[in-house]
Amino acid sequence: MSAERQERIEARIAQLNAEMQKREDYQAIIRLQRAYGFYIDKGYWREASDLFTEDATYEQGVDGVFIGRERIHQVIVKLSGGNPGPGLPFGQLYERFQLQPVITVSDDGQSAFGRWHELAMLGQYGEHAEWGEGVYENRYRKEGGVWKISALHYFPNFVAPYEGGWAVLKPVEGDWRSPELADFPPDAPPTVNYKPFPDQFTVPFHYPHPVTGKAVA
Amino acid sequence: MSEHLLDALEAHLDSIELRIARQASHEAIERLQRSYCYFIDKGLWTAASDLFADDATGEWGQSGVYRGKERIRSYLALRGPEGLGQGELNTHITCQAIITVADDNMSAKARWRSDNMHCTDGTGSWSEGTYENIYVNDGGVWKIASMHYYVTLICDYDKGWIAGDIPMDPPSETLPPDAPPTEVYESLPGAYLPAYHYPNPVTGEQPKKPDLPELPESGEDTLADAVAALSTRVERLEDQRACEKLQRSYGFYVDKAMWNDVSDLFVDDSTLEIGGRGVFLGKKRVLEYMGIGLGPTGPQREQVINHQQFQGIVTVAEDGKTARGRWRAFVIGGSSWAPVNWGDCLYENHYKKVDGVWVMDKLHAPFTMYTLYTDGWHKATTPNTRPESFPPPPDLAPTVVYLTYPNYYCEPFHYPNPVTGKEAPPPNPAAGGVANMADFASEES
Repeated sequence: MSAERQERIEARIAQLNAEMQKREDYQAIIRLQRAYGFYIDKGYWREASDLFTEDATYEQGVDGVFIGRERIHQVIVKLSGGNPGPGLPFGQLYERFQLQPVITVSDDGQSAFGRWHELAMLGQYGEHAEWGEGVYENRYRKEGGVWKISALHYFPNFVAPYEGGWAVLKPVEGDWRSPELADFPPDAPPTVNYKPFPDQFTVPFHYPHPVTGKAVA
Repeated sequence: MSEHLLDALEAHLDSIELRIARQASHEAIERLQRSYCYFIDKGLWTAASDLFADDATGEWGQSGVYRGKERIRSYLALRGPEGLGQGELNTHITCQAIITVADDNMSAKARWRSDNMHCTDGTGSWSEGTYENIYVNDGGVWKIASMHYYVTLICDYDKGWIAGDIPMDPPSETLPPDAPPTEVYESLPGAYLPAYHYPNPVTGEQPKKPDLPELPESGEDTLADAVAALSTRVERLEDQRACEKLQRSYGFYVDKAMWNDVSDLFVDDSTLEIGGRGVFLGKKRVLEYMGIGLGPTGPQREQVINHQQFQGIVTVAEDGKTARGRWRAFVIGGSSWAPVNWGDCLYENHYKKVDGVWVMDKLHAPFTMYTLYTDGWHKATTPNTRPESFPPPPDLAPTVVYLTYPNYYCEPFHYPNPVTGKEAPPPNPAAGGVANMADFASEES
């Protein structure tokens, strides 16, 4: 009888270890994305790109898909204005808050999705200032016990001038790719085409409705 | 193995199972509340109201109380049809959760805030407020049982808060609520303190620990060791959440000028260093810093001092006695008698566990940028503070002297890179200057 109870206890320990692992995975993924934000804020491009898997993808707006960690490093540098870092030049503000995570870890604990909200304060002293807002739907993968970003997909909703804010934005017409990437074509076309505010676009949800379990429009 | 030991192991596992389940409930509640904001962002009123329990209540500002999921949906839809129209903006960014899951894991309460950006008929506005919500575990599915959103401010985008305050809407006449507002108050320029569902995390009553039989210590890979190791893993996660609660409470208390509650988060050998004002030693001096330096206790009319605590990375030491935290504060500040500003501030803090309670050990808050609302950060920045610019004077000189935006300073990261495990190098020598940073770049970058 004692042996049976002992076996039951062993099984319970194994099961609770697995449950605990899920909790730790959830925290590790949140930490990873927040660390990404804190590196980007301060111009630590290499540290930020080191958070990706070797074969990761990076996609922002309608700029197309950049594939592989090295290309991701290059595109992060280009989009921020081209300085090699670590650091920012005089007068550049590049604060990109990583907020409001909804993290879904796969049943096998080896991959995950994450939805995030970004609020950004951008600008160049003496020249311009902008508010930015958008949503991420990212993917993560565990490699050798370490969580990494395997796909970053940022859907900017707007980058609005400080003067007048989002109310003065006009609908984009035609191509609204980032001008910083004019001489830096992507490895693949955009996976999603959409237009930012004042047009409407709902970034698809990676997860079903938390209560009804149905897909959300 | 003795029956006595097996009993003890099972008692511990019962306790651990509940503690892990309560952590999973934290995650479920985070998902619920964050989804609510993602849904209303896009006018998905049905999806948002489906997060509520059938008999839930909802109350927003002075809306009055709506009872039941269907009435809540109708209230949300007062904003417009399902989905937003061209040019409509309804962004709600929700943060700073303080979640308290009941001991039995069947219900929970949480305080949150959200920063909101609106656009209607070509006019932009900001708003911010506090949630005090109740959640219920309905057969394993968490739902919102009660949502109460307290508006701190609504303001016209061009004028900002104080100059551009917009009052809350009164109860709807087209869809009258089921009950009048439970609390009548005024948003900015008024000042109101929504009650906290939880006591001060340091001086308040502490969560009870279950009374469990002792397990034998062997160090020889026994079942008792496996159970103890699992218990430690749960405890480290509870430690992390306790530090997050401490830091987020700091923000909520500063918001409302609750200086006694702020200083109670510190102990006699804690330190506080904010901006360039130098180091203040001990909780008594923390109270002086706040009370003498920042004004009277309690929220004041025509004033806002929101210190919104975002993006925390908390690292608990293996022994569970100390922890570190990197955070940012998004500051909404100003009054009718002082400048109205935006602020952006970083924290690299130390926490420690004293007699089982997490407290602030060192609060270190280098400023990134402060600007005047009327100008924006491209036109006006406030230079870093200095000891002589602030009453009272500090006990010790600043530990680091640096310039704020438009210059550059990076407070070192307390954690190694989560993937490579390497420490981040110091910044490029040309960072913050106008020289070409490429000329000064190291091989590694």
